Amino acid sequence: MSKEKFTREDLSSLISQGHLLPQHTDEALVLSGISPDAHSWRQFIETLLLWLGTLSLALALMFLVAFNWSELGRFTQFGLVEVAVIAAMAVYLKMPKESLLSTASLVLASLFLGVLLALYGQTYQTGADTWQLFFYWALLILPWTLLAKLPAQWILWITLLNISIIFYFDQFNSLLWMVFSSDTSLLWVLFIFNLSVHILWELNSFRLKSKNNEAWYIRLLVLASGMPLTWLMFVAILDKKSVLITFIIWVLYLSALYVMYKRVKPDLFILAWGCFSAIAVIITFIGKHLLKDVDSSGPWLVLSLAVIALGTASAYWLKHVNKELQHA
Amino acid sequence: MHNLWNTLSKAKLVEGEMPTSKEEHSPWYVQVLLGFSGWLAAIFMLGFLFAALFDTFFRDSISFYVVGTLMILLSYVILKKEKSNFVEHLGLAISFAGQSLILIGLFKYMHGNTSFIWFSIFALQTLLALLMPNYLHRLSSAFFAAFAFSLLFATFGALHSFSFLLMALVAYLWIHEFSVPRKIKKRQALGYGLVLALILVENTTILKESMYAWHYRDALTFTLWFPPYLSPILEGLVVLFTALYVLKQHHIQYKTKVGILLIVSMLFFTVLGLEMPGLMLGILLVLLAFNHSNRVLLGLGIFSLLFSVSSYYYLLEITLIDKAMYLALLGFILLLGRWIVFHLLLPTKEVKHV
Repeated sequence: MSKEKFTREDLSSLISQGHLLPQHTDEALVLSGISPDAHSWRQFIETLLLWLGTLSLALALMFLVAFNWSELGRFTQFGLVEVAVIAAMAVYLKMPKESLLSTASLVLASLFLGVLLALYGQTYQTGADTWQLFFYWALLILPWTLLAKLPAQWILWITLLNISIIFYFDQFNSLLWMVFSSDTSLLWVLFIFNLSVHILWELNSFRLKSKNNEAWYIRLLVLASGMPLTWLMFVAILDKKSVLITFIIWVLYLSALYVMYKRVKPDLFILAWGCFSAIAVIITFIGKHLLKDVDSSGPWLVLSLAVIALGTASAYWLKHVNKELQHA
Repeated sequence: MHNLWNTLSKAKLVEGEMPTSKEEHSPWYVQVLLGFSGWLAAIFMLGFLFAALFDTFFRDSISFYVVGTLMILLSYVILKKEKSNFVEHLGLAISFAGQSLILIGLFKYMHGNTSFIWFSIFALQTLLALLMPNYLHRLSSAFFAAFAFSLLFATFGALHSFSFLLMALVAYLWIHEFSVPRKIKKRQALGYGLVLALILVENTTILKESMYAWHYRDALTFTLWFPPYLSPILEGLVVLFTALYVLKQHHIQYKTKVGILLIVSMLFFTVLGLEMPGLMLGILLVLLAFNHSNRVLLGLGIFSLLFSVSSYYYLLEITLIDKAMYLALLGFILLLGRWIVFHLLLPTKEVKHV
């Protein structure tokens, strides 16, 4: 879009305060760039069609392999998937680097490679475990990921490794480990892995080509490391396992988030996540110690008021930070 | 804000000095945090009520309804006069707990009459969505009203049959989001609530299968006068009319090349929507989101599309090979269509001209 784009909130504020008459709203929407012009619509529909088409083809191949169509023959099945991988890579190499089409075709080639691995395992009954499929998939697309330096490709790679870790522990631990097993090794591994990736990403070791939406990739990584750690705190409080060490790491983690995303590189989403984690852990702690007798009404009321107080304090602080950021 | 004011001022849409005060806007994730703490507080409040009053007070359905209603009324008064964040939170938690009490009363004493229960929840939540003077409350009530609306029809074996009505309402609310100055926030809250419920209802295959199993007889009777293929067609029409309305906003005639292409592509999606539930909802949300540069709604639209694909995999009515064929067809036509439309029919110059 050639003209400057303004926020929906600014315009909404002017309309609801009566500074802009209702009959002028449509014109104001166009002038502010909030209602896109024909050129923006064109770009958007082109991008949308490309991604939807690409994903549909990838899914079609996945569903076909999952159907395990014996009439198609082993040779044809492999041929089909291999041609798909090569075709997607050919498009990637032919298109200008960093273009939308090259990004889409590389992601598609990576997805097709996973389908090829699944087909291999399915046809030859290799006896490989599920975690191995995702691990080798991630390993095989690593060279492409390193060369392409695209955020979407890195996220795919990180997701595959996360799935691989989960399946690994799912197989070698109790099935209902989340609920019954006190073994917290999976949560620790997920936390350490995602935190390492997060730190490397922030240190710019990934040397991304595209900085578009980078904040959202970092937010995803924060959630990927923060959720297992918050869960570890629940386990520590409820099962009284490794309480001190988990608590120290959790406090250090939240403090690091505060320093980094309040002072160095402000990000309200990450601060809101920190508040969420803190509320959940504090309430679990109070609940564990107060709710010894569920028939007693007092503790329930204390818990309810504590949640309201913590939620209010968080909202107040976040709104304050938001204002600071807007005026900065 | 300053630049926006200057731009509008130059176009003579606003006059005078730029206002110094600005409405407070919290990002969506702060709203999620508030909603989460509101509901968690309500659960604990419910625990308090049960622990304090269960033996002595909650003996029949009337007590559940009376206490629940009183709590909602109290919440209304609090939210109407709300000055501080703490009191606002307290009001939300009291109302959520009151609604839960009425819900428990309904399920406890009306068992067997599922349709009546869902109708009552739908009616109550619709009232609350329209009357409660709070953004998060409206959003939550709109969500539950739409959800109960769908489950009411699910008791007749028609979970998705009237989703087109909800989709039409969603389209109306988001297209006319800024039309009435004092209703902007209200429409946004209702819009998000309805969208969240629709994403859940349209894409949850498991919900659909179990609903049909529970009410198999009713489903058979119902499908006689409302055949299942009618619903995706009506959903397609909603999306088509929305797209045409957007064209009209851009002063483009239906009979132009762009108009005809739009109608043809929407008809194509509608035909595919017959076999791919959730497709039309995803397209509608993406369309509405881009029309007003709403990134949150766009995210929900993309999430809805991905969610519908994942539940499509588990849909029992179609075999995997058929699903693969439909997806391949969709993929090829989308990519081919993109090339034909943007490289042959509408080269860049022509679109700029339009």
